[in-house]
Amino acid sequence: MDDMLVIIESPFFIRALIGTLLSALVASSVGPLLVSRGITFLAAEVSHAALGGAALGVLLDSLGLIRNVDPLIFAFTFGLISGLITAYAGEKGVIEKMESAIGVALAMSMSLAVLFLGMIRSEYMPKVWGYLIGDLLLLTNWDLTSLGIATLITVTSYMMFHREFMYIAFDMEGAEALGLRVKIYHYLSIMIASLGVVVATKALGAILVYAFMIAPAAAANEISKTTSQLSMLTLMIVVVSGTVGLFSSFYMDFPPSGIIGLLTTTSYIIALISKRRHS
Amino acid sequence: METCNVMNEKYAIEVDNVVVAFNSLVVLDHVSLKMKKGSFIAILGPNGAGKTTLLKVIMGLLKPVKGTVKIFGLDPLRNGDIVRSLIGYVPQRQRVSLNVPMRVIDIVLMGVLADKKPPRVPKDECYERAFRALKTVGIDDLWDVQFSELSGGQQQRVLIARALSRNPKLLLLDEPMNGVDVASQREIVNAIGKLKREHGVGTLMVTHDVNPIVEHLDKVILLNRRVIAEGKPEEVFNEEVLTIAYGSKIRVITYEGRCYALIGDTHG
Repeated sequence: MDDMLVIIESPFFIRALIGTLLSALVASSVGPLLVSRGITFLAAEVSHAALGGAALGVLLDSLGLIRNVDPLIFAFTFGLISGLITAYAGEKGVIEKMESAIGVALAMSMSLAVLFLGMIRSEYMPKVWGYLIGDLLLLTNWDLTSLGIATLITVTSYMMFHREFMYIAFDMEGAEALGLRVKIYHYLSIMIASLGVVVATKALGAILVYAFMIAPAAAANEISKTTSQLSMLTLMIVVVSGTVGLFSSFYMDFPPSGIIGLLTTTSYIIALISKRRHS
Repeated sequence: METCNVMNEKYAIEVDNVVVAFNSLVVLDHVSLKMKKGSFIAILGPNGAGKTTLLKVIMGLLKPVKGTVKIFGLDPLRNGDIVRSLIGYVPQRQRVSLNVPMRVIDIVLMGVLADKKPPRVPKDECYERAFRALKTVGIDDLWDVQFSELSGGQQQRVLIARALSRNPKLLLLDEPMNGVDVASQREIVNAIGKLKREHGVGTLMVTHDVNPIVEHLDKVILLNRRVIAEGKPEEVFNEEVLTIAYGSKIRVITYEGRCYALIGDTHG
């Protein structure tokens, strides 16, 4: 019991818990948005672009070309540009066009990341690895501040415009005929999703951001009747998986993101089977 | 002010000499048509004839290379918001996504809330309008059902209800009979007739299957990039003209004094 209290009261754990809850809020907006539009791989694309951006930031720092600039700034820039390419390709709402753009932008991001990583001196590498595999337990106060700001922007925008986002996901042509400015909402939705994914990449890593952002929303989408239910269920799955993953990582000495990823992906399989059995 | 004046116009739609081209491919070639307010017109033609493109030009979503369009006397390119508020548009059912968890009522509310500002929170009167529209097409009892769980015919009626919820002065329907059961076809035709009788709402329907509506039509337009023929169904439905439009032989049969074209061309 005393051990438990020590763990819970440790600043590492508190920061990890806050990081998990903030990422869960981001996932409850970004996940439904991407799942309903059928472009879930945007999460993988943007997170790898963020990795490439962070690698460039660290490289410039290691070469002494910039000083005291957080690699997160470069991660944001790369992630948003990558999202913009996809949004531009899918301006008319054609999913296949966006899928191709996602694949190309992912390949470009990874190529850049490999190039930059090859040029970074080994002592600087740990700064970049955080973006690849993530570590909730190593989050700093500044990481939480940037995560908090991005969460506020993402969640507020989603709450304000979620109907428009879902309308264009349902029927872009019909929404345009109803007089909605579909192009603005199309770009806005992808920019918001990109922002959320970049900031979650810092906490979770490029590999697990998909498990965190997409798997819970995909699970919720199988059993939700409305878009509000979709967001709420996504939030619940991420919060439960996140906190269970964090606690169990302390007791079993496993990386928390691995456990969280397994729990969220399992939730999808359970939802899939559950829906099939009820229909 | 302009929305009041539009109702004094004689014509709901005036398309004059419109040319639309994508790159070098001419999709609409000097197309002209007039539709009187409150009338019911069907546009027929093979796949790729430019029927959906014509609807987009009418709504001001596509700019023609040449020619003019007026909707209740207004240019849809200059008065897009006003024109779109007068039109109830129903897209092809196959183009909507079944991956978004939305109930029937949520989809019909789209039509009501489109005129509001974000976050577009629905009030009681919005629900009343949505339920009224659902009742017109006979599916108000399905309001709480998820859209993806409905049959093709029921889904089509939901999309029509969404258009009706805006209290339109003109309905544009893109292939509403495609893959729709007979009961739903009947409900759709009844709703169009009721709107015409009670509110003077005209309908322009793009369709491959004209037979369920033939007795209600004021005019048929045969389109294949250009207007091949137009007039009353009995004037247009002759094998020679239909064969020119479709590029293959189309049979016409007469039953109880009405002409029916046996066209097997559909989407989806």
